[in-house]
This record gives sequence, structure tokens and C-alpha cells, in this order.
Amino acid sequence: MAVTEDEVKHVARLARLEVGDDEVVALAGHFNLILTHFERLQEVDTSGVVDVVDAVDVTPWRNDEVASWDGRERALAQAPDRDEDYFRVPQILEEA
Amino acid sequence: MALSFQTVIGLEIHVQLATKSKLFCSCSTDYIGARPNSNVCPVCLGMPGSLPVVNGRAVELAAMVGLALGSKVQQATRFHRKNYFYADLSKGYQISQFDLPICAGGLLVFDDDEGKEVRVAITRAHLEEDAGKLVHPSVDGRLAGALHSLVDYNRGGVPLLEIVSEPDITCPPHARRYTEEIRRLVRYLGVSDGDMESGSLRVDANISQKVSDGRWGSRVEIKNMNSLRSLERALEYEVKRQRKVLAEGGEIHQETRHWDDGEGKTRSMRSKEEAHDYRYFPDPDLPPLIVTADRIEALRSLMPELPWQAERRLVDAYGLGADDAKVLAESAAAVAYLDGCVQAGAEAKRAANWVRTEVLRVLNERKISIEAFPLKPESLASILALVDRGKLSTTAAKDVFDVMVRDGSGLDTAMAAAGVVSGRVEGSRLEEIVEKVLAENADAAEAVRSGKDPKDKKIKFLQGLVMRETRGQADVAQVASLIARKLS
Repeated sequence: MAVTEDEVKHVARLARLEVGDDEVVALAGHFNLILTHFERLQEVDTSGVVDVVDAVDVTPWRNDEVASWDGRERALAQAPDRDEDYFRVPQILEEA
Repeated sequence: MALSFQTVIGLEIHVQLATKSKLFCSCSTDYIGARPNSNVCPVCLGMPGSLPVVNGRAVELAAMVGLALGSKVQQATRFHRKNYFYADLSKGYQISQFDLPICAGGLLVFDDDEGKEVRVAITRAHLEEDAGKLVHPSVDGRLAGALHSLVDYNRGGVPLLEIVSEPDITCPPHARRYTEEIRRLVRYLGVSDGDMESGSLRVDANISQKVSDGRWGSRVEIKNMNSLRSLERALEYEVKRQRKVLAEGGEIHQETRHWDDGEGKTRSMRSKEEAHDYRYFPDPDLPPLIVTADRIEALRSLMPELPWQAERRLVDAYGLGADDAKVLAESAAAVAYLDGCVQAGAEAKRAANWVRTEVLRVLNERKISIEAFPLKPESLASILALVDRGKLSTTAAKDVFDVMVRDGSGLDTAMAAAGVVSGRVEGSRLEEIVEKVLAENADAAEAVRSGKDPKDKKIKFLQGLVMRETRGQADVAQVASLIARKLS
């Protein structure tokens, strides 16, 4: 099950990555190498292995307590763009 | 042969869980009216290196809904990343649940508007985090002129429970009733405030048509319905639209449509090329979510009576009418208040009537919850006891009630302040009132005395005034004879 160049382009679009045509060819090759490697893992018999969710006895929970953070100004200041209290982003419209 | 159609509806209801802090960080969930981006931290802003830790209370609230709906509350579940890019999502993914939701299966049974039983199976209910809010500033009032959008992440990370129904709903009114029942449940359990207008309860609907000639219209998702009424209207509109297209031999495409409440129509939203390719995978920042059997059993033992159980009990044990029972069973606190009145000796039907009319009236006027209602159930019961024993008329009792609510005073003080005396107004006290009324209405009194009241209108008027002065606590016949004697 080889990864096609179209699939590489699709994944790149989903990840908002700019990928040149020559890179697509190279990346498809890399993907296929990795997948071939992982296919070998399929040969291992895992029928007796418990799922990771069954391997944990109890999850640490956080109590429902509020704590405020004093770094909001730093966060806003580091943003590419801001408008007073808001992060400013390129225009987004929900509807066509 | 004319075509016939069958409507198929499934609902996805998101409820914001009533926790103090967010699902994976300690920021406050109190975002309404808060300064933009004031309840944020590295976790909910999606800063690299920050690590989420699940809020145990959110898990408990989710499990409570599952227990109420008869779901299997799963001991071993986990969180997935749902990947997509949108500016209201700080991390580029939403933490949600995928293959192992906290609640699996379930059933909601309710009556439709005609009293017929409707059963809707629940597919699942899963935990996820809410997104931030986008603000679209306008230029000269035109949205399209704006070059930027503004983002406030205060809501980002607030816990949501998404309750997904099976496509068992067959008409828009049933969709509304189902939503009403879910809303009542989450409010009753204190799991969410369930307010559609402010967005703490949001409904998305999937609706399609099955045609009698064997065709199936594709499923269309409807969004942006901000009230029960707009939910029903949007679905009614969509039923008509889809049937018309199918009847004319057209096709319904799978898409998302936006309800425009002002226009009264649904509109197609731009369908994204890569829509629904979320590349879910288990979030490596979070360990599996294990809810031990002990924790689930502890929750089960703490589960209160459910709203539909309370409604039935009010009818069966207290003999209330279906309508009264339904109104009172909207709120656990109202039911507890009524129970308190009955335990304090009040007759159930009378108490229910008072809670429904007088208590709820005060709550509405003052915009307070029943927990903040100043009168204890025992105090209301003490007023009602006097009514039962004929010591207070209903009118007088309401005066006393109002004073007790206003001043927070005890029964005796309130009766004195309201000028109400326990027992019948008679003898010299009644005589004083009659004389006062006659003096204040000398013209009418004179007309009666001189025989110019052929239809007894004026004497009835005087009797009415006396009864009002006594707050209904005098004997009508006695009042009539007293007036007649005074004017003879």
C-alpha cells in the first residue's frame, strides 16, 4: 500500500504545509519507507497484549479549582498581531 | 402514485458542564462578560510544552448524565486529538473522544405534545473542550469589508459533553421535545445551566428523507439554532425543502446548512474540500482516562431522583395534576421545596399550587433561584395550615406571604404588618369596618337608605368593599345583614 503523491499533497494541505513538487516525490518515498518499517510490526503476535487503556489503573484527576495566570499580557504581546485584548487574525467568514 | 416521505432526524447536543475550571487547565470557565483573553493560560492557549490535566469534576458530571440516560459509563476511555485549522482553536486540534467515549449507549423516553410515548436511543456522550470565540468587526457596518477577525480564548477549553442520539426522531416537534428533555435533565442534575440563548446548550441536527420509491436523500446537518423554537422552525423548513427537491426528481447533497432565524431559512455553508478529515489519534499528552468502578458506584449512590421520576411521584404520591407535576419537576430545588412543605404538614395539592404560582412568581420577579428564596418551606406550610383551618382566607394568606417574603419576618410579625387577624372578622371589629365603608361611600349608602337601589347594585358594591377590607375573612351573609341593618 504505497503512499501516492496526491496523498502527500492532501496531508500537506491538511497540515497547512507548503510543499514543492520535488519535495512531494521525496516525501512520498519517505512515507513509504516508514510505512514499510511499521508493516514489519504487524508480524508480531499481539493477541495476548492488553490495550494501553487497560494498562493504567487510575488516572490522576485535577480538582475543580480555579487558578488564574498572570501571563496574559506576555501572551498577547507575543502574538503576531493583536487588537487591545484580542488576538487579531486574518479575516474569517463562516459562510460562503 | 404520489410519493410519500419519512423524516429521519438525529441530534447532537453540546452542553457546557457546570465546572468552575476548564477541562484541562485551572482557568475559570466564567467567560460571559469577562475581559477578552483574561481566563487563559499556556494550556488553553496551546503553548508548546504545556500539559493538560483532566478536571475530575467534569468527568463526574459527564458520568452522571450517562447514568441518568442508562448509558454504559465506561471505565477505560481516552482522549483523541481532532485536527483542523480554525482561529478559534488555539492548538490546531480539539481534544475530544473518539473510539472510547465516556458514555456508550442509552435511551431517552418522553411524551410528545399529544402525550404519546417517544423513545430515542442514545448513541454516545463524550467529553471535549469548547473552542474560543471569534469576533468579526465590521467596516461601515459591512462584514465583508473587515480585513481581520478577533479571537477571545476565554471559552476555549471549557468542558463540553456532546450527547449524540440515534436517528430515531421522526418529526421536528419530537426533536424539540427531545431537546427539552435533555435540557431539563442537565438542569435538574445541576450538570449545566442548559441555556440555548447564551450557548451553554447547542443543538446540531442531522436530517434526511426516505422516499416511498426507495430513494434516500442524503443527510444534511443544520447548525445555528439558538432556541427551541428556531430548532423546530429550521427542521420544518428543511423537511419542506428536501421533500420539494426530491419530489421534483432532484438530489439532496450531504452538506452543512446554516439556519438564518431572521430570514426563516437554511442556507448552504461553503463546503470545505477537506471537511471531515480530522485525522483523529490518541492524545499523547493525556494518559488513558480510567474511571474506576468504585468511582462510578460512588456517583451512582449519589444520583438524585431524576426529573421524570419526580414528575411521576408528584402525580402518584401527591395527587397533583399532570400539568402541575411537569412544571414543578423542571427543577430539583422546586421539588425539594414542595417536599419540605409537605413534610412540614402542608396539604400537598395546596402547597403545590402555591409553589407553582406564588413562589415561582417571586422567583421570576426577583430573578433569583429557589435556593435564594427567603421563605423556608416550613414557613409557607405554617401559612397554609392557617388557611386549612379556616383561620386565614386565601387573599389574606397571600398578603401575609408577601410581607414574609419582603421583610423576611416570622408569621406573627407578618400578620401584624399586613393588618391581618387570624380567624373570622366579626362582632365589633366587623361593625367598625362596615361603618368606615359606609362613611367613605356616603352617596351609595344614602341611595340604598332612600330606596334608590332597585337592582341591589349599590348594596352589592358596599358588601364587596367590606369583604375587601376584611381580606375575605368575614362571613358574607353576616356582612349583608349588618349593612342592611345600618341602612334601614
